[in-house]
Amino acid sequence: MKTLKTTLLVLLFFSGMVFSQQGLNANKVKNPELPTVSKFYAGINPLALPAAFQVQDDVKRYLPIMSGLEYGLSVCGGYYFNPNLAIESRLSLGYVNKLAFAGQLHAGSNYFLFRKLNIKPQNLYIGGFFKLWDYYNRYSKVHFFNLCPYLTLGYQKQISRLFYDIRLNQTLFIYSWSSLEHTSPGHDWFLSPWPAFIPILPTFTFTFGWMF
Amino acid sequence: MRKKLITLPLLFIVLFIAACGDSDRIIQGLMDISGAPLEYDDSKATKHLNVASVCMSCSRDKQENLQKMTGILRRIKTEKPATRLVVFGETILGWYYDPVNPVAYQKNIAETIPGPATDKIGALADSLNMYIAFGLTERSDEGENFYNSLVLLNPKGEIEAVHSKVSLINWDEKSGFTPGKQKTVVTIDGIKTGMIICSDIQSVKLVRELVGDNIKIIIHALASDALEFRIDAVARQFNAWAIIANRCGDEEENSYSGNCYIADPAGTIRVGGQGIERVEYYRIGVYE
Repeated sequence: MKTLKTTLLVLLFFSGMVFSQQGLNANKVKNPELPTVSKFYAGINPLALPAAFQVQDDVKRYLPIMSGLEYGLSVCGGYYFNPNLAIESRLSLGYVNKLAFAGQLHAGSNYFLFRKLNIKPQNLYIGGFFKLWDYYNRYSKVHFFNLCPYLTLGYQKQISRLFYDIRLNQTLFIYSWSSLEHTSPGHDWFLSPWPAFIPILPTFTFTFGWMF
Repeated sequence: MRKKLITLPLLFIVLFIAACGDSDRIIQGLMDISGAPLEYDDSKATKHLNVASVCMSCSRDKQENLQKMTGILRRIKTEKPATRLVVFGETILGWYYDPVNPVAYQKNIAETIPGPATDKIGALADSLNMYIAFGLTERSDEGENFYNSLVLLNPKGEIEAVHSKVSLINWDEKSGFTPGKQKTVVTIDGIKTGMIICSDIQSVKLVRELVGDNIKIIIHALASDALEFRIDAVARQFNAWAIIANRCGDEEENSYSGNCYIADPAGTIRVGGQGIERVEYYRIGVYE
């Protein structure tokens, strides 16, 4: 029950963050070289799908670095308030391995600073997101929930109605809690899941999609 | 154009199938060790067990390793007299893998269970009044099969259980080991405990069965080069306390990290470290 309440609070926080972004629409920047109409976009992360399957050991271990630690069905949707600012949400559902299932929800925004400054490369952006994920042990039925902020640096190129997006994600901090009895939440700086092996580990995300 | 549209997905499917591996294995990755350490409150636990995890470097010579084990066990009794369970690493009586002649080497150090090594360590378990788990190369009575085994001796010096590694890796196969067939669950001072060796954590069948048995402790003997973790995936995998015993040092071209630790069921590492020979102690609290 306590876990459910915490999860609802987190979801409320996400909703609040998305609605608060609407105020930014008032600051729409007009750039004569770029479309000023608001746009929606939707896409998929094609590398997340093979990451959820039982591929060879090394592929299974390291492919998730290229899929942004997303597994299985991974979709994203976004909205441009103006050519410089987009909000985005991502959903990923898939098996991490034969033991665990992960459901992930991301929300945040990307800012095309170079477009705003009218310098090249104009498709480069920086952003900030929150990620909530549930790591579920199928056998013990225990949930491990995690919430973390992360920074993005990416490049989005539109070709007609299609686009591709290459992104670097760097997690900063992590807050975790669990459905396991006798546990209380924990938090820590988080630049890498395995700091003894590599102290800072950004992940990559590739997205292909459509704008409408 | 249409032909291309059909060919491309087909090519992708063929490549994907080619990359697919063994279907009955759990391959741990970065996601399994992602998270902040949680606080697990065992202050009101109903049962306790004082445990020790030994990180040891190994010689090629079996007698030398047995002598070292004897010294460590006596030191544990002196340093922490209340210790009830001591866990050593995988095939601790010798090198884990001899790259020059792996089969001949393992045959040379192999023993039956019971045998001279279990007799010697069993006598110590009796005199020191503790459970002792250690890995060795086991030779079957007929002398035909060799197993990568973990033996548990009880405080009377008797053999309480023998677990043979189920999920063999490449080096085990090159060393001529035969896979074990089943899980091993024992009761130590009234606490249900599972025993596994190294890559047994990848066996879906074994993990499912041990979790189904509701074990409270998992004894995990291994020989690994993996560096220390922020959180432990093994404890989270079994929903149990994990006692991880590894080896350290170089064995020809192979190096072992000495990553030894004791983690609670939430995966929080209570004591641990890597690199040097040492003993990690902890008083485990279990809810029944």
